[in-house]
Amino acid sequence: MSGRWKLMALPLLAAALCLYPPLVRAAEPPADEPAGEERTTTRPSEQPATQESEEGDSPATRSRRREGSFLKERGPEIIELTARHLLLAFMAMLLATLIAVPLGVALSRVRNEFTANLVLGVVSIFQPIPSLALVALAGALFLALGLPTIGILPGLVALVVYALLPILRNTFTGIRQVDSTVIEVARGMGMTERQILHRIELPLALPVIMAGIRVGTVWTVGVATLVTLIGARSLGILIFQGLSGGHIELILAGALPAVALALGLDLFLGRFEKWLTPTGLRSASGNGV
Amino acid sequence: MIVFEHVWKTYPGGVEAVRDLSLEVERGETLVLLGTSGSGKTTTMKMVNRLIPITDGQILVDDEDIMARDPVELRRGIGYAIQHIGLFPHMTIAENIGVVPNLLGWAKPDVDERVDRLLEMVGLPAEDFRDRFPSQLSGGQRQRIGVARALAGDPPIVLMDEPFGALDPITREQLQNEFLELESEIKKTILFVTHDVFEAVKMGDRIALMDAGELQQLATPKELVDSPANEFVDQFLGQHRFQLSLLTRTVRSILDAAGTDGRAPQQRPEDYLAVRSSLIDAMDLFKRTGRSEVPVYEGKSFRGMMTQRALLDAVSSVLGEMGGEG
Repeated sequence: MSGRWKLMALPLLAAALCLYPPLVRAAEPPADEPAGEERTTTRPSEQPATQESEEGDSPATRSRRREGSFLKERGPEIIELTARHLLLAFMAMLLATLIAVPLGVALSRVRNEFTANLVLGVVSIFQPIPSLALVALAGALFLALGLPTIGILPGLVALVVYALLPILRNTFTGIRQVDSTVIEVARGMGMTERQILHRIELPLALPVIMAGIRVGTVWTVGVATLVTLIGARSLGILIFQGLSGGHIELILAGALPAVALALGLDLFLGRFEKWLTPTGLRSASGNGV
Repeated sequence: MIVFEHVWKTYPGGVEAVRDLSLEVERGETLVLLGTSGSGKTTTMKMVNRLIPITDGQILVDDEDIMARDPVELRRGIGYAIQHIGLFPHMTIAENIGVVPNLLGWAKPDVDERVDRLLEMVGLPAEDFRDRFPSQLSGGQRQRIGVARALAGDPPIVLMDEPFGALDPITREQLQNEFLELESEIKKTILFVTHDVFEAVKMGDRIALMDAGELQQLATPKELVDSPANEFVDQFLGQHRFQLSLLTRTVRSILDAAGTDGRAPQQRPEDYLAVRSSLIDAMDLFKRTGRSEVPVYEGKSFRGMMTQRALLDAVSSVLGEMGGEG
């Protein structure tokens, strides 16, 4: 059945990207800036040093010159942070998918509607929490547990928690919405419960699950700008530096790549979703079963 | 082949869907479970392949208690076709038909060959249809695939739950006729569920009429129509009695009574009657062709010519019998 290997495609792709050497290399801080991490994350207010030295020029030439030198000066850092941002989002999505899809499948098996709704409800609690507050809570949790609040881990936890719900909910509803007569026929023909899951339910739910992963990815790329606040390096560093120093280029250098990542991934995953949709469902109706 | 012994089905909450049902489906026969919705006919059928567990009593398939068998293995040996067809939308037609052979572990060439044969059998050319998806077929074509899929593993028993129910009347009749033809070749034991008394009379060797979970009458179509066992059966047949009487009388009965006339045409023409055709079919044919006599065949051999006169006599005698009853 074609659905089964397609199911593995996304986790494999994400895992491959997480290990892709150029991406990992780009995510390493540039060697000639050893203090980079500490400076940018903890004390962004020190930045506007460059601005003062250009005081004497007219505003136009100043900004032109600054643009050129800005990209030259911060270019490698922007690339590094973009790569890190992407890597962080991928890792979070990989983990969230690995947790949420099996959990969603298990949940769809629960006969007791109350239990299923309870789990979905508990996960849904995280959704209305403003993303900034969730990030802060993750930081607080790590502090309270005496774990380091520097590095990728607190941010990753926050992102995974945030991405869980759309994937979990879509896996659950995707499987639940599979036509019950189709499942009954499969059972009546002598498929085991496992075969029904693998050959019927998952392939038919795949487009819906994928839509959840897509939504989760876009959210994660967005929230990843905030986890800078709890120690993870991402494009958020540039944005917060820029905001606190009134430095438009820095803000844009952080925001534009983040926007591009979100739009690009959304587009790519949309294509991917279409490719995953079983051929027999494509002609009938776009997304439904 | 399938034996029900004092079978009960009680749902939680006390609804008794099937009450003390005992009957036997004989090898090679088509037994129709007939009844209104809520009569327990579908429940009865689904208990055979253990989609619905029995509350009390037992069901034997091939002299073996189904509860003693592994449900998955039991189901793989029983064909299953339903009204909503339930074709797997993400699989091609060939994959749909091949499901049970694959579950049974057939080699791929055998599965392919079986799929092609079944497609031919239900009148859909394999090269055209193998690689299509269910969404690309008409209702009638899907239903044919549903039947082919139920027969794919060559099961001795086939369960059919209103398999032609979702079709328009013309397509339904066409498929019924095709299935009768097919059935006479493959000779399966068939448990067939329907709420349509005409379909029951047409398809069934015997009919089990059910109401409120209880068996009301188990009889051949002719017995059921001619001598209803109780008030309920009588009411169920209702105003369709005359038509049903014509439907349960075959051309054979007229031929035997009237004798045959031996002028055989060179070869079987397009318009002919089979001996198993009903008087309704015969009336339709006379009406459609406008002829005064048509040839009757049993299989490929000529049995004689039947005149419109003989048919009308038979019809009016049926009417006379009914008038005599009351």
